[in-house]
Amino acid sequence: MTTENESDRDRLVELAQATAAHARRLAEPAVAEQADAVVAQLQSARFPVIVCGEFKRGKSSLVGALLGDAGLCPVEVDIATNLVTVVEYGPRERIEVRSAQEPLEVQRDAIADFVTEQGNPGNRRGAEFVHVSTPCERLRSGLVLMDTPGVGGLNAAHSTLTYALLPAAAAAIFVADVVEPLSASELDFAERALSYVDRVLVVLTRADLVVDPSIAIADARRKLAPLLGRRDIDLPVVAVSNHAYFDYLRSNDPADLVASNFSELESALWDLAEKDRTRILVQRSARQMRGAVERLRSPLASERAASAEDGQAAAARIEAELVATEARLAQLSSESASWRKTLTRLLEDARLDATDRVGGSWRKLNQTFAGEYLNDARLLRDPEKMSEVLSRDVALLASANAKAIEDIANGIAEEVALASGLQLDGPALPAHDVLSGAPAVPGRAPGQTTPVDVVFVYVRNAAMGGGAAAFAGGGAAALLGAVGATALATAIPPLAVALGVAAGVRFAVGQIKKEDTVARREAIRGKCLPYLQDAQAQANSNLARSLRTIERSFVEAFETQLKEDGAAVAASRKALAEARGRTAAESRSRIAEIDRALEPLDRLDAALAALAADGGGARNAAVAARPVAAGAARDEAWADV
Amino acid sequence: MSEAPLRRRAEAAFDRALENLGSTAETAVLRAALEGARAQLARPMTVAVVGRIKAGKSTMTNALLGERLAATGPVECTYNVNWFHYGDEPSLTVHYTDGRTERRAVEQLDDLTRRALDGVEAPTGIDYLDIRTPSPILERFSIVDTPGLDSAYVADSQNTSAFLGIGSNDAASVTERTQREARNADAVLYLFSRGLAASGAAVVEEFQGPAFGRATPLNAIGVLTKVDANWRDCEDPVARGEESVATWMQEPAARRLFFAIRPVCARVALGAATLDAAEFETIRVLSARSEETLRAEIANARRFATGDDADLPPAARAALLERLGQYGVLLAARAVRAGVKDREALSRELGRASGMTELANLIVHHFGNRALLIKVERLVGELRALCLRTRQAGAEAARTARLVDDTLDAFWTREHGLAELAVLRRYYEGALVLEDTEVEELLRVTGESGTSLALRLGADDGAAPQTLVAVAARRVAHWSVRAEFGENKATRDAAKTVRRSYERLAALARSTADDRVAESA
Repeated sequence: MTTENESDRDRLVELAQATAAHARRLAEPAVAEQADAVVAQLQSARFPVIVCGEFKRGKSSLVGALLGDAGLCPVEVDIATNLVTVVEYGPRERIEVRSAQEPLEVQRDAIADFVTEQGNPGNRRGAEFVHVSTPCERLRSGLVLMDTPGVGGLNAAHSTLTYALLPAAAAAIFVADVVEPLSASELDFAERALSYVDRVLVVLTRADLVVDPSIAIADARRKLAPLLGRRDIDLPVVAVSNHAYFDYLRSNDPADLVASNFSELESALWDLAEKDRTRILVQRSARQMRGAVERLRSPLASERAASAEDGQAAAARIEAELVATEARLAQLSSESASWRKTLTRLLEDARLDATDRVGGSWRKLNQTFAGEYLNDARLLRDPEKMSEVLSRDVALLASANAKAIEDIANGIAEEVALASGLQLDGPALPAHDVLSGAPAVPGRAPGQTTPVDVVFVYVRNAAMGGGAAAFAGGGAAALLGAVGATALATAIPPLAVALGVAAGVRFAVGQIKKEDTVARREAIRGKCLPYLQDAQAQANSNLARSLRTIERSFVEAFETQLKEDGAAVAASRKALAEARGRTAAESRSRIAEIDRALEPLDRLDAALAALAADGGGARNAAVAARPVAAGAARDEAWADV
Repeated sequence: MSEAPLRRRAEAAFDRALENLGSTAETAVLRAALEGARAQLARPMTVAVVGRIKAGKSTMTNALLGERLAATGPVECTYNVNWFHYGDEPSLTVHYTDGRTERRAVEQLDDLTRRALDGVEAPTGIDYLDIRTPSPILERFSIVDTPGLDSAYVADSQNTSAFLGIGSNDAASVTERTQREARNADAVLYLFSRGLAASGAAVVEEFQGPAFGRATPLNAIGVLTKVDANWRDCEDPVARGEESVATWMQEPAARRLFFAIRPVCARVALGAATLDAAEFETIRVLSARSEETLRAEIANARRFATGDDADLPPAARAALLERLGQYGVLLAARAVRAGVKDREALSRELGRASGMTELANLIVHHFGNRALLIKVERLVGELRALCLRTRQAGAEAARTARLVDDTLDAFWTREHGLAELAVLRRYYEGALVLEDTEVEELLRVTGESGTSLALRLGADDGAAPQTLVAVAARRVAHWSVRAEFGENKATRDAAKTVRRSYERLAALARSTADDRVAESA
């Protein structure tokens, strides 16, 4: 099933490849490189979608149905998933169990031995997650499905990991069913975790069991929408039957497809994960390519104008424009350019704002710890539970911080663009650069690293007492795709801290032998506070680091843009000078050559303009790039685009 | 060992205690308590139905009753405590928290218990509802259907109120009431409707904590409900449920909590019991189709209820589906195909196939046999605690309280059944150190497998009395040794009780043997 946007993306890849070819022919290697980078980014863009919800709600069955493959995620009645399974496109089926050691390739029938509680009780095999590549068409567009263990169940480590993955997800599918209404623990999870995810789709499975799913749908919507800070109509809820869909795959009977309601699911999924992000990616990349094509066009166009009949006047006019542009660019490039001051000011404001927000949430966590958790008899007695709630809260705090950082980055992009007149789409890093800062992931080539891989690297570092490894630059940006990638990537280290908190607290509280409640409370307070403080310190330093990274990326992007614009001006001036020095005959033959070169470039530009349009322009680009803030009503301008 | 003598002995003890009381102000409380306790002895066993919201409690209650009384529906329903007692005539009485009572028509039960889907307020301030109906099972035990709790541990009144859409004051009292009913019931059915997690430990965790009192296998049965939700994934969902249950019960923690866990599909049993003639006719028509065909037709509920069918109008199919659910329809058609001729026979067959018949038997026989003993244990315990408190109220009160306590104590020590109960409790708490074979003996001799002499001794039903005497004597010897050399005091004390049990059984066997000899002489 190729969607409109997928074909746009494929088209854009073609256009970018054509641009690279032209650039090489015109001896412009820098432009060719830029076009290649865009192609790489388009082809490697991924949309991780996390599939979450409580046990036995049909999550794994749903993933199986979406993949059209029941065998990948074990779904026997009694079996419960206890590991994350990441599924993405690959030309051949390949299943790997990943852990701290070298990845272990396994056959399909061995999956259950690792991912189920029955096959791998308490995860004694020490697996971290399972990575599946499969030639499933639905994944070709870059959709990555992460099937998670149930939350709200009893295994604290399962839940924490699911929380930890949320910021890495572009969207979340929250699974429940039409038979059982949502329990308090599910609603609790939804409220805590899903408010940080922009795009949430609620899927109710087992629609085959009821005559009228609309009651369950309305009930789910009514309960979830307020918790997620949305209006009812803004929360898509779809009821499906996995069984009917599997029947359809076997029978090809359209009646089965209707009964499964998977058409509605597919359409909702597309809305959710791909429509917006692909569109943004396509638009942004198309604009970038237009810039590249313009780099190729403008010297040719200038030369042509200067070579024409009334060339002298035109040349003079163009020269004057170019000189003026050069002066403007020089001014923008200077140390004292006002955009730099604007950027600095905005970042300082953002730093204060974010510090406030983040500080406030840590204060709240400390209060909850002291006021609520330390007075809860069960938490005092049970190290597992105490570690679960603390690490969950820390993980969620990190999600909140990640969102804050993302909001900052996008807000700044818009402001500076408006102030300086430069068209920018936020801190975008060229693909060849992005992995230079990421920590090495053993056994995996950079292009094969997944967000989950990166999480676990940090987890291991944290568990080994190293704290959050020094994180440099937007290493994980390429992994996560489009808008806000840098910001999201910087959220990952603190999540590792959350998992470190879990382990530390569990161990420390487990060591406390005191029986008396009061003594226990004091002992636990004493043991846990250092972990919380450490987590907070890490988070603060990470915030500072993120803001510096953002600043650096912005400056880099601006300066690169300015440099490219400068190079374009210089090339045009050179072309003008050459044109001036020609005879009339030479000029005429040159014009024919130029026309031949320009014609495909004009066509390219027109095609790119079409892809970049749909409300194009810096203002709308920035608006489009800004995600919906949690708790706020949806931006109406965006909704109309 | 039979009930009637125990009850008479207990009544006699309470009567003796009452005689010792004067009628002064200080002893009025004690008098009232004794009278109340005596009255409770006569009442049938109470079974509380407890579990999360939407675990299927009301459907279970209705299935036990054999009629649709308690309100059920697609969203949260019950938020009152509903008591079902036997009554020759159906009646409904509302008891308010301020002490008022009000008679209503039984048909109004739905309105009174349900938070209406369209937001109409149900009356508040209700303490509980008392419903009488001539349902046969109520002659054996009364049922209390409780509102749901969401979280087993912290019965969070805020969560409950969010669900039920009632004020948090009401929610708190709803929660408290449910907990109280669970603590005071003679037997408790703990319902859960999904595999909560992969393990028995998870199931146990669900029902731990002060919210449910100390559930023990002495009075707790776990119930896995709505097993038919998995009907598409397996041939026999109830059997599949049995497999899951067997796995969970391997967990020691689960065995310490529940006597057993039964998988059931209450809806099927209830539907079959309340089937009307038209619905039965629909089943007959469907039974003419092959199982495979029917399975395919019924796979999708909406299609079955609204699609085209040459032989059956949608209304008939929808009605049947509503009544029995998909798996129930399949079972019913299968039964009719196999020769079941009428509604009663179908009801019996589906009662069996759904697991409800066995559950009801378990409640009546296993727990019924012990219910009185447990009740007596509880009542005496509460009375003795009251005596202790009364002794601090003044010299005269102290004197009479001590007399009462002495009477109760004498009764307590003479009742060997209570000692056996205490041993069972210690065992379920994990306090005893016993070999596996000894555990089996312990459970047998205290009647866990049946109360006849032979069963308690682990002998064949037809065994000769002399054989039974010999068996009992050997066991006495064994347990005498254990009483000396048990690993801890609890075990040694338990061994003494078990030895005494065998001594009593030996005496009973001997007297039976003597009677036989006398008869044949």
